[in-house]
Amino acid sequence: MNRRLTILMFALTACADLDPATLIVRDRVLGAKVTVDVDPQRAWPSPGEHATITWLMASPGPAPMFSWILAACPAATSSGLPICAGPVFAASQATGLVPALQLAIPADLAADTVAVLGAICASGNPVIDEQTHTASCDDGSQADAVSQHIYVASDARTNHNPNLVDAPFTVAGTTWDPSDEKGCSEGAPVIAAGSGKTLVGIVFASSDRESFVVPADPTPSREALQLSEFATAGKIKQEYTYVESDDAREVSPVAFEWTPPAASEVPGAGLPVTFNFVVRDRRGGVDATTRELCVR
Amino acid sequence: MHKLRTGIAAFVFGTLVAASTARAQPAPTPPTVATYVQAEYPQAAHDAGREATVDLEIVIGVDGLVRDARVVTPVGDGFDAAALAAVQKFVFVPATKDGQPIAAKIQYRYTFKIAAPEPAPPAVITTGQIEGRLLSRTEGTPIAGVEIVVTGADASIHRVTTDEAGTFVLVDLPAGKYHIAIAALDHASFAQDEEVVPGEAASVTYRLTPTLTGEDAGAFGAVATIEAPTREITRRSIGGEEAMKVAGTRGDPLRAVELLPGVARPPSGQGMIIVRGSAPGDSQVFLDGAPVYELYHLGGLTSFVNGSLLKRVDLYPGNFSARYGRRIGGVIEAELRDPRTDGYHASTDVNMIDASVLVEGPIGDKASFALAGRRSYIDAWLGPVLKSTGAGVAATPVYTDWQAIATYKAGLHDKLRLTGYGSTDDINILIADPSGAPTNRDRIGLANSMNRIRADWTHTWPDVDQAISLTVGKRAYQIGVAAALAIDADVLDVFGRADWKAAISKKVELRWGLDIQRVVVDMNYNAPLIPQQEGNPDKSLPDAMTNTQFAGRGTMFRPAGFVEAAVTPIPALEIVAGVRVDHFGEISEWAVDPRATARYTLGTTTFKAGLGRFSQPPAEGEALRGIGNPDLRAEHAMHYDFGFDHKLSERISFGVEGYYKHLDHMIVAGASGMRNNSGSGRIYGVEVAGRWQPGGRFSGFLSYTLSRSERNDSGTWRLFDYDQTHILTLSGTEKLGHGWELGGTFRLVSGNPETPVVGSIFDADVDKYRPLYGAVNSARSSVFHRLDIRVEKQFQLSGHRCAGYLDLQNAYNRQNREGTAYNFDYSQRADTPGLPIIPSLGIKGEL
Repeated sequence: MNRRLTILMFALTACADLDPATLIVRDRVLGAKVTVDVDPQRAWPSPGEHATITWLMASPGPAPMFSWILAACPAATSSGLPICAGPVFAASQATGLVPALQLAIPADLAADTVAVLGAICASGNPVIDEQTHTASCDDGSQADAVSQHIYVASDARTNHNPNLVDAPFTVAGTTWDPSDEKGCSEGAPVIAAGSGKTLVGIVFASSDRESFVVPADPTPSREALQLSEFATAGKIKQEYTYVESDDAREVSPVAFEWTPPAASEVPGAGLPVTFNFVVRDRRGGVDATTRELCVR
Repeated sequence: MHKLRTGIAAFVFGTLVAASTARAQPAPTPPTVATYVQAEYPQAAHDAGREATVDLEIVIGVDGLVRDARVVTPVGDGFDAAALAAVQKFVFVPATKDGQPIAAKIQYRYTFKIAAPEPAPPAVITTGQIEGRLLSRTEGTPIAGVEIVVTGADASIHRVTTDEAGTFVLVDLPAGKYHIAIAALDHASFAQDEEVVPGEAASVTYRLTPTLTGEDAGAFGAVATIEAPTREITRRSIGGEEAMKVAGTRGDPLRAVELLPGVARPPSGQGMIIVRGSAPGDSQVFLDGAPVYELYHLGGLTSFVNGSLLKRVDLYPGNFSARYGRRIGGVIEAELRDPRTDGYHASTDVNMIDASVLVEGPIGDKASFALAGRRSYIDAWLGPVLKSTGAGVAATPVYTDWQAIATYKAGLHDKLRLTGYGSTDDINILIADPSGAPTNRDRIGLANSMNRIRADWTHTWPDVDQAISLTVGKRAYQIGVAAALAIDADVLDVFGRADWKAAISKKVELRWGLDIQRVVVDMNYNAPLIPQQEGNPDKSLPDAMTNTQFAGRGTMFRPAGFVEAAVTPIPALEIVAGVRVDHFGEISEWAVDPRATARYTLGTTTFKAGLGRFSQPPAEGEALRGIGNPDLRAEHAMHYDFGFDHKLSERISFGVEGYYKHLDHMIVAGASGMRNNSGSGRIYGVEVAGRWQPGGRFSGFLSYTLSRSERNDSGTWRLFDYDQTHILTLSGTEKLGHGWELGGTFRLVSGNPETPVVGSIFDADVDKYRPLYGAVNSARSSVFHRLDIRVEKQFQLSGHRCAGYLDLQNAYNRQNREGTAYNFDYSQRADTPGLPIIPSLGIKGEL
């Protein structure tokens, strides 16, 4: 037993000066959102329904045209690395701004989940090595091998995507609304360079978290929410922020610290910073949004 | 031989940083005559009424025997030869220095004086006598108050008790053969046949070997010394005092075990014992015969026992006695000493990590006690340090431990001992939420505790030794990572052991016993199933979405019995053959494990070989229905050993040993994660052990291991996680004089195997990149080397013995690589460094 503890401790203490996950320094995947075509709020399609899985991308600059290979198959497990339990029934190889896969859930699907596997390139076309199962781009750039499970509704059990787009955001104590404008445009919040820790707050409503039961336990549980936060500059203190399943409040404010870049790293005209947020209900429900600010 | 001596000398001088020319503190005791032999008076001189005094010079060995003698000033008339002949038969209690017997040269004056006329002897003499002395084999000190039973050929029994000087005399014994049987408390039983000749006194000196308990302890550690192994093919022992001065161990004898041959270097911060390529869980630590599961406090900083209370620590790296079981790797036996009876004593050790206190002394004439406790105070400074980094992390790692011993000597043949011990470890890390919102997602808590009591009864009959013990205790484990993972386990342990030993004849000694273990685990489990750790490069826990919930009890009842016979067909050869029968109740399996060793001594060289079968039940929880596989079977191993030990001098010895181990029915995780018995393993290697025993200014040891440990859990052989091809350790301590001691320990070890990461895949379910691995353990980390230094100064303060010490780990701040850290998508990598230079400054004293 103690070995397990020390292994965990060792993992906690291991650290190095490496790029943090919260800093967007390359074009990359942040998540995948499943929507049922007839009910876009729903994350769990039923057998026979059509659904779309959309990959949530982030870029340090203007979004490139992405190339992708994606395929779906019945899954052998509901978590971890997807393993196909049957033949591929949907696939996509295309180029565009938003990688996506449209699929029809087989009416006779025996599995509880569908596995989606693939690779996405910001430049070049993805190539998958069948020996090592690693992905690369044919121009030598780094590819993102991706995976996602799609939960299939059954027995009237289903799940809806949480709503992050409409959640109220604050930065440094002031309201922070979405903006279509990028860069240090008028209206974007301005944070002083080198000003130290800045608090970013989000408030989730209780309606964002569904109640559900699992077959083994008839006691209803509330969803927990996992918020992933990313920025194109500065330093975010923690990778995830949570609303716990036992949080019974009507509204659940959460916050994280972001430290803007030092003045020496900021050009005179100011440094636009894009924040990406992805929320997961840990049952396949996902939503995402962005915010902009200016460091000057 | 010369080359070897030169090599060892080079090791000594290479290890030491400096050596003073100052002499050690003298506290010698001179030799005293234990057995006096009357010289034959020269008849002509006697008839002439001449008397004389002969001055002689006698050289006495460490065993008290006369090695050389010469007459300094001849006086003639036959006196010189008579005196010389007599003193050459003397037996002495050897001189000692620093508590250790040493050779000595003395001046001795033999006086010839004509005695008054004796009364006329009886016409016919039909009786004789046996006179002699009883001494400790290790200390050379007299053993008083011991009854000696002498049985004649006619079954007549004569008894005598040794006096304060350990001497005894049995007079008027009819001529003939007698069987001498001695059963002394704390010493091995002794038996020997003697012959009484009419009119003569059979002068004997018997030396008894101390056994399970000891009385004395130095100011800062035990003083027990270890006899050469006999029953096991290999026993590597560290006496308490020596082990407490090994650099880099912070004075912890149990940590010094990590430096012995066959023991691999554990990764920094992970307190584990890896013996001869076996997994840490395959070896067992016993404290006074009862298994201990949490030897080290969290992080492996120190063991849970006050080093001053340890009498000795023995490592059996393989082919251990049938007395031990339920493990297929090695065995470490730590033994607590008895409290001191020579007055009340208190000692303390205060350093930068923790503080400990020990008090002990007699209770009346027959009883004694010892109480010890320790608490760490890392929490007092680590928390503020972490907060000062701005990490918003509050950490409270705390450990405590305690030991209590009470002994009662009920008589010459009985001793009762009550022992209690326990420890706690608690670490709680909270990553603060900057908004102050109530969240505990980032709280990580680890805690465990153990408390036990133990009762021992030892009894000695003339031909049989008996030791019975019962240990009862509770363990508790709590692991929590926010609300996502929680494991609580309460464990009730009951261990019973009964050992008997009897000398069947001069050539056969029998040992047999029972060993019963009952473990009851009450567990609340809400976590993912722990994946296989060894051989699995991804040691992280599975996602919380796959939590398994279990609340229930598991009972493990494991009775065992063993019998072992040591046969000495000729004095140079000893064969030990035994068998152990185990029942593992939780899996309803019997295991029959035969074992045998042989030792043949030729001069100062002992050749040895052994083989045996060993069995091990599944670990706690592995076979527990709900979180494990109840269909699991026991793991098995075959051990093969061969080698030799050679004694270069009284204090310097070395040995070479080769071994091979085959493991089968090893428990591994199948494709579903459920455990099964489809694994196997093979381990082979050579060990070299050099030892410079304490007793002079220098003591130390050299150990080198060349080994390879492999596993096969899916049809392909791969390296074991902690396979280390080369393990070299040089350790030594030099007494510089004036109370100064300087010690150094240097380790040079191959890097651990590693599994390369060849890519990654983004898991959108949980926002995490998962690594894609190459062949398991197909790469190797860089070579590890480290020098630890210990400086100690002993001094008197108001009549009390004190010492200050500096234990410097990683003295030249080598950046050893303990692993590889990757960035979030595994596109960047960096070395995970091991421990930096760590000074530990402390002071200890004794009242």
